[in-house]
Amino acid sequence: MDTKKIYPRYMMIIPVIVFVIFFVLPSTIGYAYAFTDWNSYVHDVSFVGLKNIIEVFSDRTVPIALVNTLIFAGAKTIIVTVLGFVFALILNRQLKTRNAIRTVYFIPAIFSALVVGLIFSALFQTRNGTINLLVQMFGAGKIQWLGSRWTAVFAISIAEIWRNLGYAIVITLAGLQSVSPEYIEAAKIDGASGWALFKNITLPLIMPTVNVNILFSLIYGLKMFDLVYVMTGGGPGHDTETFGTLMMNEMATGRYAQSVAINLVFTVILVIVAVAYQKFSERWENAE
Amino acid sequence: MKKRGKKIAALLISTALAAGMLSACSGGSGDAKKESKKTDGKSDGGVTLTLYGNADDAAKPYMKKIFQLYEEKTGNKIDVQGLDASNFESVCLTKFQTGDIPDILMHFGGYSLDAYNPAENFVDFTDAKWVDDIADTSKAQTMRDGVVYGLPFWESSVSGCFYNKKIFEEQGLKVPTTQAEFDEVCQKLLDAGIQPIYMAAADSWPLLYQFGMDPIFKDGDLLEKINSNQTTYSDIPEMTSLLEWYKTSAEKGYFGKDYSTDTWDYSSEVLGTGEAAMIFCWDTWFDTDYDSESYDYTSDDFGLMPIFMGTAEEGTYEGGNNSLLLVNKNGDKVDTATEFVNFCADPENYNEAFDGIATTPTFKGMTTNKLSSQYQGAEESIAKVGNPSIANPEIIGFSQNDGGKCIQELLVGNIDVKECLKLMDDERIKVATSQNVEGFK
Repeated sequence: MDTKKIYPRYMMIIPVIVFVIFFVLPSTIGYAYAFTDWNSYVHDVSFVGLKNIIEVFSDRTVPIALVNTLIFAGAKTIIVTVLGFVFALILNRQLKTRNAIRTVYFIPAIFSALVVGLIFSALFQTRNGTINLLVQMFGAGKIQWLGSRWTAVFAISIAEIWRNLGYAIVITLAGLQSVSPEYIEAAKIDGASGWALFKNITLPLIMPTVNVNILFSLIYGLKMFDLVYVMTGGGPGHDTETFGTLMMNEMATGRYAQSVAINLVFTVILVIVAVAYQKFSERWENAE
Repeated sequence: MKKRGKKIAALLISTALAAGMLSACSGGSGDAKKESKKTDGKSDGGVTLTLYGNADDAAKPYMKKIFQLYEEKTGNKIDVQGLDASNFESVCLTKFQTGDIPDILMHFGGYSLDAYNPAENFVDFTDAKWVDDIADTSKAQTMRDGVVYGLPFWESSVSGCFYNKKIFEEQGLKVPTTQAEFDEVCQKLLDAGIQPIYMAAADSWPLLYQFGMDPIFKDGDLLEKINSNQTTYSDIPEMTSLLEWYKTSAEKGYFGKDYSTDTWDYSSEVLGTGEAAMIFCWDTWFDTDYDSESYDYTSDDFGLMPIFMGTAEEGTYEGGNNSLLLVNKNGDKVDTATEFVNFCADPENYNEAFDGIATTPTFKGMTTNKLSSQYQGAEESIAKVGNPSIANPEIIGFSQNDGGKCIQELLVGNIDVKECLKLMDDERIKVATSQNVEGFK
């Protein structure tokens, strides 16, 4: 062990202070407001116990938001990870246009959610939308993509996947490039086939990278807000609400404490999912 | 020694970084203070007044004109800070909550002004000279609890049902005067392959259900009861009629096939090409927003008639909604801000600002404005069945957007009329309870 790289503990004092002041304290104080009647109309904030939390669980839009959030996160995680893996394998080959293709796939990742949302809103528009024009070319009728729950969830998921695929490709590609060619050479000498090479050498070695991809996709998928806000505003009705849009709605009516209460419940769900996945992936990696 | 030196250097760099970060945080406010002092002084070009308003509302030509006139005549400056139109209320309220209160606020008034605690925060203009000059139709909007808090200074439009006169003529249709006649007109248009009403339901606010509610709540007693939790929407039969009208109109095809994804952005196109024959809207829209140059039908091809939503047999119009100018009574520049409002209320100045602008007069002395052709064509009918804007500004907890979302749910079939009314009540009561309104506590 290189003991020169182990710094004394007091070197942690300033980072810890900064972390506590700028993250721990604001978060804790912020979440405490979930147990008060803080809103834009009251001047003296008072403690109301679990009233707001109970209200969150009795709100009919929360189960809708929960299901939508899980669908967005699940669809994004699975599709982005799988496609990211496939495209990374292709882009890891010695193609002449490799760098150009890599850039093209990464471009959507640099667009803001607003831009992506507006692009896909236009594509999925019922009137004059490109997707409907294509659908009509095949003789089908116009589809109101953003006018009902499941088609809207589908359209938003497509936009989110398009926006995030570039990241997944880059991360997986980095993992693939870190696999030592010597392992591959040795396996080939031992007579390993292409599938055996992939299954026994490449996949186990890049599993930590894939896990990072999955975890990022899962967490950012659960935090889905911006594209929903731009493309449907949570509608029609409350059909495409997520926790993010619910929080925004409460904020907009000046019910700040209720907004924080939704945030608190959501954070707990987020932490449970992240920790559960971490445990699961640890076991997975160890088994490999 | 070398190791110790490294440690000290690291510690110094960390401390310097932290100090730099903290000083960067505080530096802004210090500069702001300096800037504020600088602009406060009259030595270098007068006082700068900060104005918060909905970005769209504050950017109207007559607003720009009055700011320009004021700046030219006084040497003072108006620093207009336009807040995001769709989140204006929440952003502005948050600013107030954190003590960030401007010298002048532009606000639509009504019950939502209560969240700003007007008695504590805004100048009482009840005894101002200009109060008597305010048109009777705008006066109620300027007050809370009998106190005048703001000067109405914006366009005053009349909302109703706008119809394509040429299409009506071609189809041999007469302007309806009853709900039954209106339904008949819709059916005839539909049979002729023309979409009767353009309803941009995807945006929720263009459902404009408050138009149908004005006749219900014009009786002050019912308004008082709903605002003290003695009755609910579910208890009012006309509210059921209103929602049933939306549901049956959508099912019959009066809103077209794509209403659930139709947005307000397409209004000009759909009306201009004659795809739809009617729209619920306000008259100044045809002057300021409708794209006459790009389509077959120009704004003059549209007439105004009452809205029929199942709540008033002879239909209804909604009177003007005006934006108010309110002055922060606790600010350092309260006198200058009050002078600005008095400047805006001067007939010479408001007549110059509204010269050629299509609006009904907000002031009795307003003479340079013009009336829209639609308004002029329907003046008699407006006088007969028109109502002031009641639901939006007066019902505590009313939200055009939240209620619109409930109607969206009704239209997509997630809920029935009864459930929709309950949902609208729940949303309204949630806000009223937050406000600790008597009867909701």
